Amino acid sequence: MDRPTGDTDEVRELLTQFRRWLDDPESSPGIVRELVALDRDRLAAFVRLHSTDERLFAIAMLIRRAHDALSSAPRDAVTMSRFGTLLCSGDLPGKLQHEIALEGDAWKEHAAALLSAGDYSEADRACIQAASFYGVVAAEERFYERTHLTLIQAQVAHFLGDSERGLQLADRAGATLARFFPTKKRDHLRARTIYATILVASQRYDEGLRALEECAEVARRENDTETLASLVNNIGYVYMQLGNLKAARECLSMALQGFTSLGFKSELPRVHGGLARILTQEGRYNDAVSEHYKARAAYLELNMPVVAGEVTLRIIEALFAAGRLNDIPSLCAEAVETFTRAHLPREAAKALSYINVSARQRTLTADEVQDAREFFQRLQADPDEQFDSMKEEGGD
Amino acid sequence: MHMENTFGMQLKARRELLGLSVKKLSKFSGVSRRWIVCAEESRNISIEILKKLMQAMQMTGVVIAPGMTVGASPTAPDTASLAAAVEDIGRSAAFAKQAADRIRTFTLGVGKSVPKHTPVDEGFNERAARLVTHFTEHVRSLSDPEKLQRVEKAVSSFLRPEEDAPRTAKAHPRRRRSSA
Repeated sequence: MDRPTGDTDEVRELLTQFRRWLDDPESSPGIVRELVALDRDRLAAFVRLHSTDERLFAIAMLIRRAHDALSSAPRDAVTMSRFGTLLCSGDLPGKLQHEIALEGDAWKEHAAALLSAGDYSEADRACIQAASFYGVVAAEERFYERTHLTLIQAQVAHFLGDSERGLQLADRAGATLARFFPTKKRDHLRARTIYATILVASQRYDEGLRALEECAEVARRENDTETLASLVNNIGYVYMQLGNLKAARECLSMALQGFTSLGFKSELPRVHGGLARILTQEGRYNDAVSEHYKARAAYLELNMPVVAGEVTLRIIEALFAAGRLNDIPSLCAEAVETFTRAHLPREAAKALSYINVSARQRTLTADEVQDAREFFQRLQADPDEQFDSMKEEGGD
Repeated sequence: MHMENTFGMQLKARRELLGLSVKKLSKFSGVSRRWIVCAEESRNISIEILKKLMQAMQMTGVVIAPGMTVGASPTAPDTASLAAAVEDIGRSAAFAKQAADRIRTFTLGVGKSVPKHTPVDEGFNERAARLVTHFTEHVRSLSDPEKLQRVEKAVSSFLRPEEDAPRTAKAHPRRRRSSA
């Protein structure tokens, strides 16, 4: 039997791994990244191996997992949602309404992921794609999702410098949610918060601050702890930027309490990280180390070893600042052991081993740790980043 | 430095004698709870940590090996530690009052099942809303254009779910560094 071009054993093997990933994302963690990198022929062959139902199920799963990863791992969300859009291949005329709507959903999620990751131009393009697919389906179809798309567009417009359009879109989305989705109060609050934020960021302080107060008041009345915890968390970061560390600590501690009581594990490490940064700025290095450890444990629990590895390097930096140089080698050795168990990607493990060897030989410098930490940050953005190049350029 | 002996037991015995929890000792000594646990298990810790713990618990010497004693000059508790202790007592009293109020509410029969999204601390939403108001008042009081500019920039983080996430995949220019 003749096989179509590209329909090779390799593609079949990828499908097996992808099916495993759909059942359990831990089983084949890198498979979606591999699939996104497929060339056109092999991707087409991969799509052909699916029945329509299986393909639609896979797209829905990719959208859901991308959505879950939005705040904790935006780059993963970008990869997953991107692959979702790639699986939606085929000509529109042959597609059913719900397939087209799903394609709109995939692009909307991709836009949200790109917004989270800070790729605003790409996010704008993804919004246009999503809107065009939603535009093909019946007017009442995906009305709620379209309103969310409007909110994403509002934020993207603001970041691309068109705050006036951002305000109009956020206002419109808020009004739509209030009128047509009265039970979705949290969504309405989110829209109003975005509106208020853009106002403040556009120097319209009076209106913006009043809108923000109204949001907090409505959230308090509605017992919406999630919105309030998010608000105080964000305000904590603003205070931090202003150098008001006391107020920042108060807000972040409050956010931590709120998120903990809600069981929002994905929000916790960032708050711990923020508190650690405040403590570091206050010169309370030992307390900062404790907070970093909590953040590291939380990231490990969320199965985010690369970010946890970056936090480990922040701990080493704090130990340098605290003058606790004797504690560094044992921490490095422990980190290598911990992250080996946590399946840290190869390049990241290499970087950590390098730091460990330097620490054991007592030649480790704060600069090297900072470089390694920056490498970990780049690795989160680009999983293909190589540690060797850093060593060559950095000189060891 | 590896200490296969019972200095950890000496530290733990002293802490328990003083009626200190690990958390409180951590606060007084500036040593993290993790390291205190390591120390009490006689695991590998630095002399610096050992001395900090000894000073916090007013210990003059700990035997770490036969014929080898680590000494630390006891220091008077500093004002920060005293303030922390007073703060702890105040907080404990507040917690006790809160607990009493809850028991009273419950025994009076006005208690009800707690919705999923209601935090354990019932005053959370009020306090959080108040913090938002404080913030808006703070921003209104700002007149320094530079500070206002920082607010405008920082407030955009409300729109970004992951502020810490790296923004681009572009490689950063690297510095050369000297070896230690």
